[in-house]
Amino acid sequence: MTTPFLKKDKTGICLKLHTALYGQAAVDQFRSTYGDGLTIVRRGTYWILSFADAVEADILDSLESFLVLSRNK
Amino acid sequence: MKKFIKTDGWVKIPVQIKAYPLQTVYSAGYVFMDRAYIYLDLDARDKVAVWLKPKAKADLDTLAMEFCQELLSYAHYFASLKVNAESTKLLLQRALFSAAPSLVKEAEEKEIQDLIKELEQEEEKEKRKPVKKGKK
Repeated sequence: MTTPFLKKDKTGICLKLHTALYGQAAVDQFRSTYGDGLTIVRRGTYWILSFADAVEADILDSLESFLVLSRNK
Repeated sequence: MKKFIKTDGWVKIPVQIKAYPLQTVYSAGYVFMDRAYIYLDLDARDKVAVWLKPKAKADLDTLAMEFCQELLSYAHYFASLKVNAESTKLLLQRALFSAAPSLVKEAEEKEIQDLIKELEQEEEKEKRKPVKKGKK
């Protein structure tokens, strides 16, 4: 994976989310889904989500549900 | 024609927020949910980057162009919705009132009550204002 927002290394998958587009609700949703397997850090205008043990497709599926929520607002 | 940026199976579509508001981007994205994964990023001031990754094998340029079409379609839909909002409201009100004429009377009474309340509040405000003393 070589995208600017999704990176994979030995420790797991790292996802960058802009705070203006993915608010606290999106981050909380990830936290409730992945629990201890997820570390969230805020760096400037981005949330940095580090998944210790997750599959890329599952992470992207979680992003989809946020899009549904945003659309229905 | 300018090509879309592609990396690792993803295609990037830069979107001007002034031309296509965020609601339009969300709606267009929703339509593409069964075909592609969607990631949004703030590219620059007033610009959102929409990244698409097809779930099944697909041409990235075609996918990006189809997304642009969808954006335009939703932008038109929301613009029309705004323009026609007042007419739609009037039509709905008329339909509702003709179905139940008693609603007209109720609405009129409520409007009168609101006006009376407003007048009373203004009168109360006037009374509370301190009286200015004249110069000697």
